[in-house]
Amino acid sequence: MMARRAQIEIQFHWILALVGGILFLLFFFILLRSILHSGGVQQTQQTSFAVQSIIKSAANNPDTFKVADVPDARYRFVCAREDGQFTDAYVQIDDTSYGDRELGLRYVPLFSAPEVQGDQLFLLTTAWKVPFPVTNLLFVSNNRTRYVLVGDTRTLAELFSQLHLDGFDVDIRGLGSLPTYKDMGYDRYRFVFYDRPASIESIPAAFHDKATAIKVTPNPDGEGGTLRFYDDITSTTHEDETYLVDAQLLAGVFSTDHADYDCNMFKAEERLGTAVKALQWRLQTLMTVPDTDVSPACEKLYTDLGAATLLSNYLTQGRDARPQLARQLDELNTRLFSEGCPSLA
Amino acid sequence: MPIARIGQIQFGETIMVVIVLVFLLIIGMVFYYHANEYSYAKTLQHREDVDAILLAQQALALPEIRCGDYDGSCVDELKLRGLAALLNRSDTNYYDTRSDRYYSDVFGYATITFQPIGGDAIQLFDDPPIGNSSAATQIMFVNLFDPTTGSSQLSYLNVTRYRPEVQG
Repeated sequence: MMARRAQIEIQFHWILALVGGILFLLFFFILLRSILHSGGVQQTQQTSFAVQSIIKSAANNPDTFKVADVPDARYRFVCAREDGQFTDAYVQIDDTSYGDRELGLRYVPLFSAPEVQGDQLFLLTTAWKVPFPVTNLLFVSNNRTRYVLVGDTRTLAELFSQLHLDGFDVDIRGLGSLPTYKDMGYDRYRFVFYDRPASIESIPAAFHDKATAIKVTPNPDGEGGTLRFYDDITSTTHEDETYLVDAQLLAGVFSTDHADYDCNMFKAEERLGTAVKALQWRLQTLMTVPDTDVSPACEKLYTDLGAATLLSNYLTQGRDARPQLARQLDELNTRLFSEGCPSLA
Repeated sequence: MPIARIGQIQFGETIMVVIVLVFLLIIGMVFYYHANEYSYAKTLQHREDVDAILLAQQALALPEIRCGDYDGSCVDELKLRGLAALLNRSDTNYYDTRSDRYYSDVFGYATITFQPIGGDAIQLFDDPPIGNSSAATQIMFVNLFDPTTGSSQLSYLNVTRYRPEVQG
């Protein structure tokens, strides 16, 4: 009887030791797994937050160029529109989208290559003016993307400094040298034909899967011009857009394709609406609130010169009317300035 | 000593070891949970601070309120009053809701006030969340330019970014 009891006790001992050991190992295993997992999630969330913060901060500082060091990853900046309506904008890191998809980049007009892979982001911010500032356009690239400007080399050298492209990887080429152009190992190439026929057929076949092209035709008077997007350089299919200022020209050069340009310029156009409405309220405040110190003569001038109509024309008339509206606004502001009245915008 | 008694002592010892192990496990778990919570709270606080700085930058970068051209930290008082009137108006029919959505989306839960030194504050935006929230504040100095007199007044921009506390 005694021997049997001792046997049971020994067995019980081992069972307890086994259960305790399993529990102990399980705890450390779960702990380790949870630490590793939360570490990974935290890392990607931190990266996403950092990238979004860098972008938002850059977008708030017009006429600046910055190089931001970021964790080595594949970045995609997505802007989507369907049936004329804006649908989504977010940053994708490797294959996952992070952050507040709705608001993260919803209002930042951001033009970039389809994928920016690496540990650096090049960020150029330019104010979009009509002629009053409306919003800032952000151009994103990196050291693995090359912009090949094709045309008259002297004109292109001037354009290069006029557009502040110093920080980017830019190559200036004459049209004749294109057929012998060599792939230097960049992830992506953007060919920009400036004031020259877009001879996309002369781009060597080695670039077909990693290059897109755009043809820029400036207007003879030097103000604005046309952008022609060749999203597939193996065909001559293209989409056209007009541009009025350098900021829009840059937007064309830096955008992934025509759809990306269209979606991000849509964001900028939306801002024109909000900016004009704020100016309308400012005018109303100037004319109706007594303590703004605007003289009755100024109030009369605003009415006589049709200031309110001019502002509302920005909302009601299309893009083509903008050069004319800009000239009218300049004349009106000059007149207001000479009379000692606050300018309209 | 009788064998039964030795067995009893050994059994008691085993139980004690198991209790100590379980106790250590619980202490480890509690410690890990608190360390994690503390680190998460610190991360959130850091993000709130960064958010507040970004919001202050964003408010100062609004072309609607900046002086004629982008000029450092200069804000046009008339433009500011115009935008404040737009955002704090009582009638909702004058303009469509598009612009409202833009500003509330960009600013989120926040209060943005320009305080001229020795003058009356101009509140641009005020939308705190309902219920409990934590907040981070950022202050920046700006010049408030009055185009009717051509004079500038030193002011500060006071931005409070709220983060609603998640219930449950």
